[in-house]
Amino acid sequence: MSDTVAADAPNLKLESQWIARARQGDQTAFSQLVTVYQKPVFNVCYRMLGNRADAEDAAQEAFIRAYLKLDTYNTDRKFSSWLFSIASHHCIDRLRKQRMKLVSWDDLPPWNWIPAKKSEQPEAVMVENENTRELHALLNTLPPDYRAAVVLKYWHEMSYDEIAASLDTTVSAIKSKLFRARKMMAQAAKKKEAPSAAVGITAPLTVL
Amino acid sequence: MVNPMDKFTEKLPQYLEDGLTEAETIELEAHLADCAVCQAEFDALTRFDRLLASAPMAAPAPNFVAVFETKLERRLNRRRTLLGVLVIGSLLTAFSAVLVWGVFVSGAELWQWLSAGSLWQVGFDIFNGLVVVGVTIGKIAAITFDALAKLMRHPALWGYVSVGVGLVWLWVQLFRWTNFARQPVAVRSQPSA
Repeated sequence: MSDTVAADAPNLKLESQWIARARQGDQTAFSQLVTVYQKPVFNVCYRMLGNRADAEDAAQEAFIRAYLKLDTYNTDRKFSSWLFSIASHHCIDRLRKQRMKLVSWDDLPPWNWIPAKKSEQPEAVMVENENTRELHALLNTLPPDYRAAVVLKYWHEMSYDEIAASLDTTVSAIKSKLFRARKMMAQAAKKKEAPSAAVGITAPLTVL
Repeated sequence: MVNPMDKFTEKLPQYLEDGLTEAETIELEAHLADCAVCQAEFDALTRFDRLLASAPMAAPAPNFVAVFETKLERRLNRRRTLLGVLVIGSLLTAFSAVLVWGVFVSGAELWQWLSAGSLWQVGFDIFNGLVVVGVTIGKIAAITFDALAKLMRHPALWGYVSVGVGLVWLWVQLFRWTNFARQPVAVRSQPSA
């Protein structure tokens, strides 16, 4: 996990050269930065959004935004955490918009009340394996900003300070978010196991 | 209903974040080994961590950078186009605003002027001016003619006039000569013997 970041991180001198060139409008220099950071940035988006297609789109959008506001980047900061900040903010926005879209004008007319057949629904689950599916189901129970904190903490092993700086909050807010996120996910995990237990109890009753 | 186990379950998240004192940690670990309920709670809390271990950093599709470059190019083009539209649009707006202002203001002034009836006044003024100029020129011609007629009747005046003209001519010649003398003389290079 963290070793991948370390292995992919270029030496800082080269990185700052690329940044300086990209600031002057050199797009190939910025492409070098994208090549280096595509994996961690994509991972943040993938873990937050839960599917590959959205994640690739979001990651590319994050890089485009980074290029467009490269002059606001403070070189004292780590470039990777600046990128993570842009990516996670973008994903948080996306998730909030998705939530708004759940009740859209299209859903209001009565002929849309009948749900589409399961097989017709787009974005058939493209998760890699059972574990990933369960992991994303757990992450899905969290509010967007909690999800960002969890992803940055556990996959990218960022410190509380770095996470707080990336998400524009305080260290204590991040700590309480991570703490509550863990509780929420534990509850979700328990709930998931509960139905099977309930079936076990109700089944004999129906027989009687 | 207060569960006596709550004392321990509440501490579990802190335990996971290394937030307990050493004594509390020892107490909690001892309790965990015995208590099935707390063990289940601990399992639920750490389920995420266990799942995480099996989920490495995800990699994007191989064409990620290429797609990014295309998207960036398109975005930059759109921005440029937008900027162009904005500049040309604002220029056109400003130009047409000036045009409209000019037409309206000057139109209004012209209308006011015309409706005040001053056009006839201006025409009359011009005509009057022409008449005055004509009369003046006529008077100047009459005076000159009168002076010439008087001069011809007194021949001594001819002498004065010719001496005056001669003196003026002499002065002009003198002036031209001095001006000419001040000009530098071109030095001709002579082949040395």
